[in-house]
Amino acid sequence: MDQLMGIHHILVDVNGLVGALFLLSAVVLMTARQAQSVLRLFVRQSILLAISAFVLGWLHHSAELMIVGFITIIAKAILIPQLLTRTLGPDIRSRRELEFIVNTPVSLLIALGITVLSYFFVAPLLMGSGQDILVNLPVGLDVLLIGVYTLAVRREAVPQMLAMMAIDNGAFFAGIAITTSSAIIELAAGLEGVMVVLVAAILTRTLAQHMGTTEVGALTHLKEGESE
Amino acid sequence: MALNVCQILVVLLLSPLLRGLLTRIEERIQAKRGPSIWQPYYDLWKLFHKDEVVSSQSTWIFRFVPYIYFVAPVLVTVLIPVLTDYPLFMAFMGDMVAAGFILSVGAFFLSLAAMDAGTVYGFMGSSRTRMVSSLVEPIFIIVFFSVSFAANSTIPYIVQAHWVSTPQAFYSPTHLLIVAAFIMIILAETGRIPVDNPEGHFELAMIDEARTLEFSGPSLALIKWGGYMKFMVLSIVLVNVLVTPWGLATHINGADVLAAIFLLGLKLVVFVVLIAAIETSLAKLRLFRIPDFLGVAFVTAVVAMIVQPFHF
Repeated sequence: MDQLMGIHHILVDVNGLVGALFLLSAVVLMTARQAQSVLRLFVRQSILLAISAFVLGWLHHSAELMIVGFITIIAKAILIPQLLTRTLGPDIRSRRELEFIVNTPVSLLIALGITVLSYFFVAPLLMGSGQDILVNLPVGLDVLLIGVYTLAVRREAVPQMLAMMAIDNGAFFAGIAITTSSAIIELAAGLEGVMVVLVAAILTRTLAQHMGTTEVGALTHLKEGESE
Repeated sequence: MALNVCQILVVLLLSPLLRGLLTRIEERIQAKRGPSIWQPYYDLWKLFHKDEVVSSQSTWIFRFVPYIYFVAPVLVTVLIPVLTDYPLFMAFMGDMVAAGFILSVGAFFLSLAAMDAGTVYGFMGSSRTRMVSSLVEPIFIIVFFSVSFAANSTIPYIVQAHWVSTPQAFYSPTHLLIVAAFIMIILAETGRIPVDNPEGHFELAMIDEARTLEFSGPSLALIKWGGYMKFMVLSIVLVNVLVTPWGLATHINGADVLAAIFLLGLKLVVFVVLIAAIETSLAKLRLFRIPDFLGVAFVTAVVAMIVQPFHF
């Protein structure tokens, strides 16, 4: 029994550390300047999400959460990166610097504000709640909001797509602490995520073939009707 | 008192070795042979036996600064747990804020001296180091804030005892984030790679080194030695206060202290390997990207502070 309690404590601590790294990964994903590193960060973030799901699954004796973890790893850490590198390989591997609408220090300050706000809003809900919710709820909300911000300030299709998936990650990070039976939702969302990435990747590829770039921030007027 | 002297001697005598080791490991990772790990000692020896040239335009500041820069890390040494886990004679003279302050006084005077000599590169180096330091300052302060939130104190001995007290404290997210932010601070403050290239010999790209261009002979030796010690002192704060606060001497006897010195060496070697890995895997940032790097460090530190009250 004592040993079990020991494992329990260690797992709660691990979840706390994972939460910290998850939050940090969202901030760095916001500021990364190369498509490849954005993708790599997204994969790491998804793995962290899966670890948290496994830990919470063990703590709450919930098989569903374990399944959520597996789905996350298969869909987000393996399938989506594979798909993206296959369809948009050159675009992801190019070492071109990505552009932002807002410069990085300002973005970092805004991310900081978002972090403070999300802790502020979540604080009343946390009174007397368990250690896991304490970590997952505010961090998940924070990553979600930072993801929305990232989506808004990025000017390229690929990072925008990944920011969208990061929003998804944030929502699930909060979700796995609140409910222990979200496997079906996650299954649906995982599959949907793969589909979305597939469609978006094909569209982006078509875009790249037509315009020679995926820098959507540069596309300011319609091209239809102009002579080639 | 004897231990205090011992503590200072360890930092004084082993800091060039630490730098030599770092250079050597980096060269090895890059598949080069690299200089011997004793090279910094040879450099210091050579410089102490050389004549010194002082510009006739310079003032007394230029003459005094090497001593100030050399003494600052020595002073910090008596404030932090180098070998023992209980406070020594002078440990309560100041806390971590004081340590940071003393180090920045040294850096400030070095910047003054660089401008005092009147060379263009000195001015450039000074203004750049001021830029980096002024960005590091808030991170330092926030790190101290979150440390004092967690441990209710900024005296390094008490902070160190706090992390060891419960596994919950040690594995808390705050701890992890503080460590991450502190490593970034060390990289920035001691002019390591993502911020500055310590091996660079191109004056226009220099940040830290540009300030020492006008110094020669014994003065340069003192400044170099001070730089080695600054790196070692910050590393000791990291390993002994934050990351691995174990293995320090608990009693005053020879065996314990020797074991503590050995363990400290071991921890520092691990840390140096980590730094070498960071430095060889990253490229130096452009000057105007440095605020981004330090911005991430700042966010890390602030998040550590925000997260803290939610875990106890």
